[in-house]
Amino acid sequence: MTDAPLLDAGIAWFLLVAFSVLWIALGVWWGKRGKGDADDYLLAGRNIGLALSTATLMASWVTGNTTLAAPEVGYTLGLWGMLGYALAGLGLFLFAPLAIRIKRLMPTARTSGDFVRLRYGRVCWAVFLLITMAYTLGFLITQGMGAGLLLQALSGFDYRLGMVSVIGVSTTYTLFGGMRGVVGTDFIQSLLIMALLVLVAVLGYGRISVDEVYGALAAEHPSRLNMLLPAGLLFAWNTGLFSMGEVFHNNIWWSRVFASRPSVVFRSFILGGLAWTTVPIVTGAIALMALATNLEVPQVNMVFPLITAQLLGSGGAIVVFIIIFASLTSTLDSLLAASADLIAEDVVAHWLRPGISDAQIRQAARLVVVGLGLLTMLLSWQYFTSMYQLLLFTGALVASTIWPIAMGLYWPQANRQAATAAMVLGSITGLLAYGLVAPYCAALVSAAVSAGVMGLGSHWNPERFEWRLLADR
Amino acid sequence: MPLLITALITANRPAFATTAPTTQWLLPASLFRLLVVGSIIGLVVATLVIVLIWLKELRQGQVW
Repeated sequence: MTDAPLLDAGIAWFLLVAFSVLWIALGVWWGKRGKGDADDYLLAGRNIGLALSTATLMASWVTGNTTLAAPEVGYTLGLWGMLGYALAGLGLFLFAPLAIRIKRLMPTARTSGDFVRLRYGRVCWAVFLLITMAYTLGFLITQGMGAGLLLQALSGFDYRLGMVSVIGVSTTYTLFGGMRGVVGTDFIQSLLIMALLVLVAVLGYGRISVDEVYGALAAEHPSRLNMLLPAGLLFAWNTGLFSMGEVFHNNIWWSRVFASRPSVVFRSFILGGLAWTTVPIVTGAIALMALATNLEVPQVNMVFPLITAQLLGSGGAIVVFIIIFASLTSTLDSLLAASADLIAEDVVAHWLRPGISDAQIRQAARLVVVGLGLLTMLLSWQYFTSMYQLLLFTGALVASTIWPIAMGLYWPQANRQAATAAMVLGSITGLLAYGLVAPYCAALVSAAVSAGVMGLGSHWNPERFEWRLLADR
Repeated sequence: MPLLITALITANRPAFATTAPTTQWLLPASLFRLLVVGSIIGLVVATLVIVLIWLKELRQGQVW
């Protein structure tokens, strides 16, 4: 991390307390609205409009990475870093048609697990739950660790204090507000992130013009402008594929489908994807100013806070703190809520205690939110540096679910044994590719093998699935 | 998306793509300007669109 914090400790404390109180108060307030049943707690009453639906997709997909790692790849890879990162928006775009089909086929469903269980049976469902839990846990831990490290770098907070604060705040308002609290705070967080990023970009490029940045890059760092940079192209391809795996399988996105009004589902994914795509390009463009000004960047992952503080002074550091705090909490709340839905609905209600009441499902979801929050704190307690490797591992797992999900939604012949084999073999070969070839190949190999197994298995032994069975949660 | 949060955790790893490539096509200045300015305008428009939709839905009682 940087040698000295960018923000005065007093200001940092004020911002942390102020935004923590704000998020918790709003979460609790929104949580008191609605009918108070399980559908309300898990899915905000299933009637979210276009604005909130779009904003919650946007906020959930803008993680701490989008505001820190996107500038980093812009700084290190240049244009293909920015554009490649923006390709992660593909996941949202491509899920839009699937989302409206899910909404039509499964009007009463609650989770992605409901689809896999009803479409492919319990064996495939168990494999799917293992995959999505492994991914979710990795995602939660990285956000928790990221929070600790970022607050430490920005404000000099102890790593554990920052980590516990951010996870604690997100857990608290998710617990009391449920999905309604998450969606409501996501709306404000997304607008805050977008507006402040515009402010930083406009003020930054007011200090040093676009042409000056281009001139400096062309003269001193031409590789950053090279559209044929091999590493950049590889990065872009991997990012697009990984994002499809993440969005297609994870309950964060499925829960948004179930929570939104049918008339807004398709549009919200398209609009959310379009809005999100601009964020990594803008943050990457901000990072390019660091190259143009020859700013000393001891650690490339801190390029966005450093250049912002350099150009805009302490005001810039405050803006960065707010953007990153909003990004982290908006992602953590979505993960906690969606994972709690999945565990309460799939593991508790359909496996451990079948036949439990709606009120018991709601109570189970609340307990899971607290449990997951505490587990994330525990697993993030000791910072370790091998998370990068761990997450590329999960790329092999989630990419194996792309084709079973997509084919299962459109193709009645998609076979349940093939789907199970596709997930298992895709994951295994993806992990082998990760270890034997290169980590970046993991998602690609996994998706390719999974597609082959799914397609051939279903062709040789076609199933005659009746879509009406999906309506019966 | 979570793929790259790891980048900030692996703080001291070197930049991985700055070696000189064999083939180059530098983006022209006009397209670079279009990309930077266009993305900022796109973000502004996206923000305004979400706010305007919210205002419309608020008036019609369709936010939730």
